Amino acid sequence: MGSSIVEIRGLTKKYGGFSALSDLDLEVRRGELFALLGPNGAGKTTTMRMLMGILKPSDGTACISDLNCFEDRVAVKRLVGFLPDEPVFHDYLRGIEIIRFVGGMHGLSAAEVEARAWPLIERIELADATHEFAVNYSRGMKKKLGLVCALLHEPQLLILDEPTSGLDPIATRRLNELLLEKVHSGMTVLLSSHLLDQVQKLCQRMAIISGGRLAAIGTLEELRSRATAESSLEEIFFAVATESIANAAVSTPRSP
Amino acid sequence: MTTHLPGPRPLPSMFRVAWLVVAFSVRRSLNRIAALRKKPKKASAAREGTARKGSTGGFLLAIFSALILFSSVSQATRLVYNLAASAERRDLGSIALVDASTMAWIAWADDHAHAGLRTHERTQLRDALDRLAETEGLHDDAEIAKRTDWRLQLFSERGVAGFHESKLKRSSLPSRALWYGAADSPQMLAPLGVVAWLLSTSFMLIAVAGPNQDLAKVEWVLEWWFTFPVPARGLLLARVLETAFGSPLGWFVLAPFFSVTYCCAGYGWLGLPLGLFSVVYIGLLAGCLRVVAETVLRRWVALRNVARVQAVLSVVGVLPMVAAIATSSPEWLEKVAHFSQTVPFVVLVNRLSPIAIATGGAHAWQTLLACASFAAIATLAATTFGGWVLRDGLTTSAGSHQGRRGRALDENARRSFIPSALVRKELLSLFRDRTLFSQTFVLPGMILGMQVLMNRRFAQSLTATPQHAAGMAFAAAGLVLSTGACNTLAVEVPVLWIYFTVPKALDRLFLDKAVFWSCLAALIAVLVYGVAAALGSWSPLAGVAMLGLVLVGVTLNAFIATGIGVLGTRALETDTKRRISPAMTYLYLAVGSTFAYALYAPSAWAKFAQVVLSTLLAYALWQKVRDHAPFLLDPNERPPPTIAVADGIIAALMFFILQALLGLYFGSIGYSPGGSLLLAFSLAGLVTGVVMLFSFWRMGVPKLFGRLGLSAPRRGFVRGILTGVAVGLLCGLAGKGYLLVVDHVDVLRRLRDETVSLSSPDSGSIAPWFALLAVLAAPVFEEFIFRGVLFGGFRRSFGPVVAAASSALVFAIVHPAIASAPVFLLGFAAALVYEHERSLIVPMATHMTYNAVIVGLVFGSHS
Repeated sequence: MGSSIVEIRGLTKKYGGFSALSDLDLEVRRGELFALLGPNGAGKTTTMRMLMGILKPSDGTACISDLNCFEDRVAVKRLVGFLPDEPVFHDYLRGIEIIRFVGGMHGLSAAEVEARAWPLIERIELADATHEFAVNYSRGMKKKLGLVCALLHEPQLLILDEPTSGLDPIATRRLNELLLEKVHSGMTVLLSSHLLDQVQKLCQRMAIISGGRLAAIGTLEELRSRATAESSLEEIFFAVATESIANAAVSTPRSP
Repeated sequence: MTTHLPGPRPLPSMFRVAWLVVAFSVRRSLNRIAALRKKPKKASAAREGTARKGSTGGFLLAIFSALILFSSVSQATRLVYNLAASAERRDLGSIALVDASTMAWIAWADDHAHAGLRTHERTQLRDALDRLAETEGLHDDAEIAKRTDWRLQLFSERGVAGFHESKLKRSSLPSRALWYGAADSPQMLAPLGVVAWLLSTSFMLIAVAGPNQDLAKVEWVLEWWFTFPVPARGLLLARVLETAFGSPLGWFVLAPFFSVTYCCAGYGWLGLPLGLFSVVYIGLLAGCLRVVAETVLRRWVALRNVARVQAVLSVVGVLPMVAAIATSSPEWLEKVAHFSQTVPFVVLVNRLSPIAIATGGAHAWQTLLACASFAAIATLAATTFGGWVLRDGLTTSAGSHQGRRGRALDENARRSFIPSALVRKELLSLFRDRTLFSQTFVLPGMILGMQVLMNRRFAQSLTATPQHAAGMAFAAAGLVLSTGACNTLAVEVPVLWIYFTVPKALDRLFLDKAVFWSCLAALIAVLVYGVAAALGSWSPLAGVAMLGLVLVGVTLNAFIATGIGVLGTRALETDTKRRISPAMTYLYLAVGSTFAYALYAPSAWAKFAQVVLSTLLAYALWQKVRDHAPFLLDPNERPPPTIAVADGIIAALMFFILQALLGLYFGSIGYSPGGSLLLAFSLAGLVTGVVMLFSFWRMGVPKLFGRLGLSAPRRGFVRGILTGVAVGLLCGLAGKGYLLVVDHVDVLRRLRDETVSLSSPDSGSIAPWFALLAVLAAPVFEEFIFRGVLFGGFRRSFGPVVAAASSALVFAIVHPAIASAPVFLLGFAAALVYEHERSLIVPMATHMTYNAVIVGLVFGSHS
């Protein structure tokens, strides 16, 4: 593992008087599989959307390969693949047509798209449905299609928001194997998930966000210092998250 | 131990369910309106719904709603009057019907006729008859002359006996004076009944096809409600009520028609609530039809055929509306009136037809009762039937379009001749989405086709001159763009995330879409123009030039439509129907149609000026699109406040409109022409300047005074002003050279003389005022607008030379054609000195000096 590919400094996002994310400092090193964990509404998706330039930070910076995620968003897109939590696709387009469209939008020739797409499609077992309209896909199938689209241009960084939600156990295993393979070949993966046992097996480092703030970051061993020596990630998560929520309740005055 | 579970709660009744659903929708609408506030009154930790960026869509919607309502009332009033006039003419037979003032002229002419009318007396009579023909809706000179000749012939044969003063009093507001005969007169009610049928039919068909983006797909909200333990009939009743009360077509088209009809029939102000009753009645029937159609179609018809049905209905539903609106044409109205006489009266006017309310008396009460009862029975029947259909579920399959499962035999893409992935995707979507295809291509064709069929004169004019053919081609392309290009972003909102993952700026992607729609619309325009040209008799050269102008207009309009569509779409709106306000389509149609002036303008300069203005508008919109695109999915953030080309356009428009209005006002209260001119100009400039400064300050534009050039010149006041004067003198010298050229070139000299004679019939008395305006007022206010704001807006995107040339071009075209060349040079030079010194004082000095030189030269030569 080398230098950082993702550098987040003081990242903040406010909606009016409400802070969805406050002062987040985070680094993801090249070639690692990094997990972003946290309760619902913690700010994980907000962080990812700011990395993709979909949202503009209220304060702070987010950089990928020293490129500012908002100001240099076009250049950033060349390096990043993204899969949202609930991918939606065009009506009236088949799976393979969407893949070809995304490949073309990334500047790939038709031959390149075909050469890259089909091995991915076979790998995640979507081959039987490529000629079906994407609007008729199940939730898991849409995830698979989104993953193919995200990997098509061989990005340096893959950002996945809840990649395994909606996938059956076989597909989940296939995906995990694929991610490990990509990481071994040099890709960096940043994912969010609620499946802590899988994250525990898969990821080298993880960050726990709670209430819009970073509650803990590090390897599993480093995080165990917040709980007990043999704690599972789930126990660590509960310990950190509840502590963070309790701290937030103390610091926020009750409204009359 | 036995645990006693509570017994099951009773299910809510269907009326309770309907009430809950309606209240839920109303609550949502109120929250949406409240969320449009720019700043919350107090900061709080809790978010109030989803933060919404302030939207001008609501303001525009209010304006267009008022305009449409006013237009509908006017059209309905005109319809009633025209029907009454037509009925009166038929009753009088060969006697000509005239208004009171024309009757006075005829009586006067009759008194003088025994001695023989002198030439000027004949001319006066002819003029009066021409004016009458114009008020009757004739605009073509040949048609007016024909009608006047017929009346003059009648006068010479029968004198005043050949004429009768109409009992009808033309009015812009509905009144009893517009109605002919008794309230139950078949001559009035029958054609009105036809129009009512057309409007109601259109309303009902659109109610079935219109509300859902995909009729074959069950909306997620209905699917969610279906999981509750409530009777389906209650949900369907809510659906019926939503159609009855929530359709803009009902409130903005049907309600004015019925209300005006009842008012003119004798109900007066009571016509309004009766009109609303009629709309609710028809709305309930439309809602019943919608409920039955949705449940039956989804349950028993293959979903791909449901999509086809929707596509057909969305086109066919508009046609009766077009036919009803076309009754503003006298020719078509006569056909409708004639047709109404061939249909049995009871078919058009009966107890179940709300138009029968106009008859008044007992019949009206019977009609009210019958309609109310019928609506109640129909609603009950439709909801019961719908509930029965839904007993087995909401729908039979997932989607309306099914692909193929299993391994594909041919896994490699066929080589495509279209290089752009985006264009390929657009074409696939367009040709597969039958509703979009129908609304984009079939509907405009049918609307224009109907115009050709309904209006014979219109059809003949299409092949008479290249202008009319060009106008038709431009209109066809414009309609295509209003559906396709205006909805560019609206249709992509759910999948916008994909565009945020590709290495291309979002505004460039929208630009590609604009180019795509431009090409499609241009093809349509070429097709229409080609057909007209093949049948027409004009010269090929004139035809090519006109076609070129059409294509320029279509291209510009494609960018305008796409720009308005992108800026007017609420990307965070979850309700697909509310994503783009209908006001945006009306705005595009209003703005885009201004280019039609270029097709009909008599001079090349006017055409050029219109092209420049349309280009300016398109560019201003795209600058805004570029600013806003990165923030589309951000609920809170906006682009940093700055000065844009659009602000320059707003400032210039405000200035010219205020100047015109103030000029009229001062003239009306007795100021001299020269004084009015100077005062109006100065006051308009002052108000524009203050308003623009205030709005920029409110927006929070940083370093405002510096950005607008309201600061000291870089090299100090003295050097700056001297520089300005020197450049002004140079421009003045060039202007003098130009004046010499004008004196010696015939076409330019004629243009100059024409401009001078048109500008003021009494130019001698306004000369001193004009001099003051030119030397003192104009430089100050025009430099603020054209250099401070407009040049500043261009400068954001271009280098100094291109920005200077662009602002100078706009500056030149708002001046008379004869002065455009030297004014362009002045504008260019002023912009460059402004760029150098960053202070408006300098270009003001340039402008003052130049104007002083030119005014001195012109007045010196005249004296």
